[in-house]
Amino acid sequence: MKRVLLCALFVMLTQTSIAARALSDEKRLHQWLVQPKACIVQKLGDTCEIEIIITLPPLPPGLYCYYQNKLRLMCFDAQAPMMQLTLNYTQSILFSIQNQENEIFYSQQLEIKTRESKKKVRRARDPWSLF
Amino acid sequence: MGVKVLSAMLIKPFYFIAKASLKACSVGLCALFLFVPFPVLAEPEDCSNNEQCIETDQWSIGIALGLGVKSNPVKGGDAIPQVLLIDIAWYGENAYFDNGELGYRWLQDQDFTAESYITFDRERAYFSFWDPANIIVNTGVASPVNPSPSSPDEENVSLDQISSRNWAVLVGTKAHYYTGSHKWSLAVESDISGVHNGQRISLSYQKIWSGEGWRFQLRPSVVYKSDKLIDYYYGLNAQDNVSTNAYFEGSGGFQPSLSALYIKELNEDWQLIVNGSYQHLNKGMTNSPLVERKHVSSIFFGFGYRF
Repeated sequence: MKRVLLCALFVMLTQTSIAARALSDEKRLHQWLVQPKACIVQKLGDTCEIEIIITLPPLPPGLYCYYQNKLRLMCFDAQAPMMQLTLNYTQSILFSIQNQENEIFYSQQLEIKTRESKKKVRRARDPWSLF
Repeated sequence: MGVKVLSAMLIKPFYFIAKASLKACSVGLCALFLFVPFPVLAEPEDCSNNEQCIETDQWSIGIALGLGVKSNPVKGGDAIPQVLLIDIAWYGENAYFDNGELGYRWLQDQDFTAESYITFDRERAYFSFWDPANIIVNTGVASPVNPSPSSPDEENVSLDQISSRNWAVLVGTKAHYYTGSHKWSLAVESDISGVHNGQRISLSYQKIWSGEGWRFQLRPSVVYKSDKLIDYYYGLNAQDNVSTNAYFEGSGGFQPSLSALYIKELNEDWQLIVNGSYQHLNKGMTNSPLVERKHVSSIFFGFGYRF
């Protein structure tokens, strides 16, 4: 009797674990994902040209557009979404997907990182202008 | 003719700004404007033009040797040969020192920068040969090359006769607007040392052409100098050892100028530097018996080394 109970408990735990994993996979598949999330340039101010891969959850039927901050990049139908895109930017941006009513469905901050640790700034005076 | 055209283009819109600013200064609002607290924005800048940009937290020191000449609008002030040019700057996150200017930058983004600062009034440099300004050339605006002979009816006044003119400490605020290779700057400066209690307002436009290892910039500008500033340096009164016939009260006015700078990188450390400038002086200054030219100009050709 004790063995039967232990077996039943084992089966229940196993089934729960499998169900949880399946749910997790399903959730992951339905997540909005943009990769990579950061781009590395030599120094601040350099333009980053990067190809991003987008994982989209199922979208309600309709027309959607990708935006780089407030700039519309391209539009597509929900049935045939674009999953790859090349972006150009010089500072961190907000990448988003919006519907025709300009409602943001999903968004992702894309960072820009520099190899040179030193920051460069504009000078307040011209060079060689002590007097 | 060129100066008249330049004046007409720059002075008319600038006149109202200058007058309004000076009026504000006269009622004590100037200090408020100069130190008005603004949030510090730390957006990254477009520093594609390396010569205009500088690495933070690091001294930038350059010395140039060459041939140049800078003359003096003041009677008795000799034209000075210039052989040495210095460039010294340090920038932190917001604080900076740049060629004699100590300041704090409170706005910094892609298109705009603005800073408040203290500096000394370079007008004083005309009154003493051994001032650094007479050894080191200004890439902005300098002074006349060849003194002209005095007319017979001019008062016989020279630098040796007048009382000493002091250095004034100015506090100022500058704003710059950048668009592509164009740059607009507006600066308001006021004497806080009590030397002359005058003001100076300048507006300049700068256009930069650049290529592989070279850069050329042209900058027309106009500066308004107040009555008090001009009168302190170029006015003559009982404190000066001159006859009463020579007494003169200076008055403020606009001084348009044009300057050019060419820099060619020869290698990682050395660069060729050529610059020249021309500045037209206002009548309130040139009518002074102490001033003998209606314009100032300078030229320099040399080789710079950056440490």
